[in-house]
Amino acid sequence: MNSGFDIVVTGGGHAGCEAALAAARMGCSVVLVTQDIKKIAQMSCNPSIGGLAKGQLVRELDALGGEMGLAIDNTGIQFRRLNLSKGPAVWSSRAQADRLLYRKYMQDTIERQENLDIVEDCVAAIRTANGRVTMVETEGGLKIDCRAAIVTGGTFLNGLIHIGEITQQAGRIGEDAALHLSEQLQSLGFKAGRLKTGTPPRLDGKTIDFDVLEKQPGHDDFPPFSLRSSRVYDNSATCWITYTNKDTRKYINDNLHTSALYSGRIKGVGPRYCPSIEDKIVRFSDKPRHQLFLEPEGGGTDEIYPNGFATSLPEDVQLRAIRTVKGLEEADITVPGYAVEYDFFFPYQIKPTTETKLVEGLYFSGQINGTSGYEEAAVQGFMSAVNAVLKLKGKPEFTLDRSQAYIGVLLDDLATKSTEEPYRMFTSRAEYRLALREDNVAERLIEYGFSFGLIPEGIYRRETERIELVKREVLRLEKVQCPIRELPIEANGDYNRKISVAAALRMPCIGVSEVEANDKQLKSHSRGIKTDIEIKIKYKGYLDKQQREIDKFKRLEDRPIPQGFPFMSLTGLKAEAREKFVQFKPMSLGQASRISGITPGDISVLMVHLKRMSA
Amino acid sequence: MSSRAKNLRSNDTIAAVATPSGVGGIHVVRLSGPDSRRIADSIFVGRTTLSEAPSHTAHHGNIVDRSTGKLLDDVIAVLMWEPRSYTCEDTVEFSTHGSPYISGRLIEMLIANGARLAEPGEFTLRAFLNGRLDLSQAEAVADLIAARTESGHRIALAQLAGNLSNLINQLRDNLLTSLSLLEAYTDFPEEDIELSHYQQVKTTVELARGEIDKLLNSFDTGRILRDGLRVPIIGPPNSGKSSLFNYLLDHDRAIVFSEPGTTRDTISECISIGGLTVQLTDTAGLHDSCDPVENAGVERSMKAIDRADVLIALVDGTSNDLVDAVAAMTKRSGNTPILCVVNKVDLLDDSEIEALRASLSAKTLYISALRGNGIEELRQAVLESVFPGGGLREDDEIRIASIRHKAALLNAKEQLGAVALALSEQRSHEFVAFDLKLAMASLGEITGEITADEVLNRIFSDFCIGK
Repeated sequence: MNSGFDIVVTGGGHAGCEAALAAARMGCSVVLVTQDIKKIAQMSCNPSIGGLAKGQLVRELDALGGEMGLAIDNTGIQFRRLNLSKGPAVWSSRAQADRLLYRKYMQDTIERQENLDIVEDCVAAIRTANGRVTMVETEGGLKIDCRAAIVTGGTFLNGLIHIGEITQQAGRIGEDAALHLSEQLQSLGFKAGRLKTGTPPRLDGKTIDFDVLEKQPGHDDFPPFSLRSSRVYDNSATCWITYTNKDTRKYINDNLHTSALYSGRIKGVGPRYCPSIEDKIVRFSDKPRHQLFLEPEGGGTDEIYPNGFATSLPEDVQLRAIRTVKGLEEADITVPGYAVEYDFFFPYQIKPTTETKLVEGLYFSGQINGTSGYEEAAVQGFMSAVNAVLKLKGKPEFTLDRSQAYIGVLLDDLATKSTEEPYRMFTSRAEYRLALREDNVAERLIEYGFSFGLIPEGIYRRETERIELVKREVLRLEKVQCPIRELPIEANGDYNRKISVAAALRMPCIGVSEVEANDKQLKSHSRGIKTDIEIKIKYKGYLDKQQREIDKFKRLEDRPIPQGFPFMSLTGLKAEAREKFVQFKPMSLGQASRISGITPGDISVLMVHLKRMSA
Repeated sequence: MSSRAKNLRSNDTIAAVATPSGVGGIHVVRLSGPDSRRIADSIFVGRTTLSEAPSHTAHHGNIVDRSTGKLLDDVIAVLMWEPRSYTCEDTVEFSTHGSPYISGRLIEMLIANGARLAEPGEFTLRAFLNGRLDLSQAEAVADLIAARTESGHRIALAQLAGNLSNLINQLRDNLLTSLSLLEAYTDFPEEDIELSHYQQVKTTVELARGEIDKLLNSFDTGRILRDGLRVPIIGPPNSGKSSLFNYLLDHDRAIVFSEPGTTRDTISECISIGGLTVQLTDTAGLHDSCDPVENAGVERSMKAIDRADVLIALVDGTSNDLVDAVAAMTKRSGNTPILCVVNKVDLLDDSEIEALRASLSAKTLYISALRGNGIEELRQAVLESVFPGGGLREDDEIRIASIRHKAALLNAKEQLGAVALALSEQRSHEFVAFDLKLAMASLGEITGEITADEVLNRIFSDFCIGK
């Protein structure tokens, strides 16, 4: 089979799946190298997709032509929109997946995909010539000629699992670690670090007393993740909520010395937003209880995922700790929780395209860049593939900036921040959050997805027509008048006065349903379109103000710094600033200004030098 | 100009004092950007309308605050229209009289009419972005900016050690706690975070607005500390103004700098009282006169009175109508603190002095500019008038002195107003957070930057997050 491929994708997780599919669909010949075909698209941690800011990532990926949104729409068993009591910018979608079905959907999609082959093996080395990728070698001795390689190592690069005092080399429990690739990449000059993450034990649902627990059902009228889906698979599953208590706290405190985390065996840094139960009890000792979500794993199994109980305690201690919790008094553990340490590569070594700065044609995606999360990984895999393809076709690269998409925020943060813990997306990371909503992904991104050939023309037309319609309606409603007496507001006596429907909608307590009686055309639209119109009108003040901030930001952003810019020899810079520039090698003035410790003065000096170079 | 340079064209108009800070003969205030013509017209009154005049011409006229009708200064305006200016943009340079007050006030008026305060080096920045500077010039500018950064660095460090930044940091820290709270509710809706702190956001914002108001009000005293106290000596002819002026000058002359007479009929000199620089002005006599030549002098005295921080109203103790003169000057002073001083007490006997004390305010001072009687009391009274309790203390109230700080605080205040409005309208957290972040960014301009990391760090240390 080794006649050579355009692109080799290393790893079949969420980054690898998106990378392989997008590259193949854009017309390149692709081979996906993964240890176990049956584990493609495995959800290593919780059986869910989306969440705050992550829901935005999935919908953005979907508008660009990615697969994840379709996959979850087709395999999800419960769909919710979080934060509906707040404004539309922070409404986020989240779904529970049928873990097995999700894997199967993705495996079938990949197997059916033209231009895409699968090899069951583990990559051992990336070979280069003249600073370019030429070949990928596997541990099985396979040599695959290629023009680009996308490495999505996940937790497999020198993965080391801890359960209490037991350690074992593995990427996921029961799966071998990749023991050669990390060292080989380091020999090419890449700088590696070590991170840690953890996962809770899985419980046998037949041993849980659900009747005593608080239920959390899905939301009706959930708009599917994908613009290409018309409905979701199933929305009938329930999650349950329970809490740890003072017995849990005492028991874990008494057994803290047995935890891999607290015995000093773990060297990697774990995420603060996803602490182990040991961490929560030590760091927030005044908190009487900690919330746990019991999430179903799907139709084929009784397994339950106790979200919030990640741990590296020994298995017997895990079991006794779990059994202190209400509803779990007789629960059995099917798979123990564990902590895993793995190698990652400091992400200042990649460009916003995810191509490495050191080796042309080599792309890093997902946890290898120090990120965490299926959604974060998926969007990187997609960006790697699109850029690898564009580059092979001699076309300009594709990047997104912080004002366009969470994807842009993610890649820019990777380029400018020092990674001290696994990076997860939050809405508060996006300074232009009000503009980066789930409801406007098509407006922001579908143009790109269509140009890649990944969005069908029919969908593209439907969405662009919808965008135009909303625009026209927003303008029209500024002119349509309605009498104050029809509105549920105090009007200081002057009830005969009229105001525009738009002006009414801008009042905090008034929505489309309060004004649509005054305008047949408005009333005739679908609920989704009405919501779009309402958002555009109601938040105009804030959105305009945000736009002014974006305009300011763009002025610096649009000024590229050429590759190979001699930061080392710049005169007039503070030594500290010079070091930061040399390390991070910013790609634009805007990026340079976001590196921590860089002052406006440093940027001025940089600007002058840039001008000199280009003159 | 290349098309690329055109794309980089800035769309706002900036203003700053282009000459070194401090007191000099002339200050140049530069205005540059697409709105320069309109803004210049809005504050300049002269025979020509600046926006219609050709490039590279100079025009004499007055700077007038149209909202109050008050005259600030007479100036020369030099016009350089796009692209024939340093920045390649429409540029107006105003040469004002060399007072930090005048140039500072002019900047404030330009800002009020739509300009923005320029960042350090921003004119130069625009110059090379617009393709004005060639290779060698750019190199020279790089060194210049580097030097400026260094001194800016020192100043920033000095301020960081000081009380102002402690206060601003405290304000920011409180706001950061509120912001983290809002962000935690937003990013972790399913965590069980108690909502009981919500009122805290409101309280913190109100407190911060109060503190910012206090700081803004301190701007005038802050400026006095930096630029000196303006004290004209006014009074009827022959009350001994020049004698007092010369006496103080002989004994207290400031060695640091001196300002030569900027107008023909008022003479200013700097002296130092208790460590504070005082710009003393000897004015023309204040009295009704029909003589047009004398009136011109009176006009200038009036101007000095309008700009005064403290007035010394001097009367001749031997004069018959001194009570009326004091009353007239007190009326004229408006809200400016005024010190009533009776001169020539060496010519009066005890009973005459007693009689004056009976008819004048208890705060009246009695001196002899000839013999130096009562001068120490006068010095103390000048200090007391601006710093009650007398003199400067190390632990004095925190003040702001720079227009840049004032602009940042004004902006922060406006954003906090938007926060308060959003809270009262019960807007969702992310809108409150949006304005709060802008307010913090403005405060950050004084002390340092806010980053998203800062918020997340706070969330993770204050709340137990983690599913």
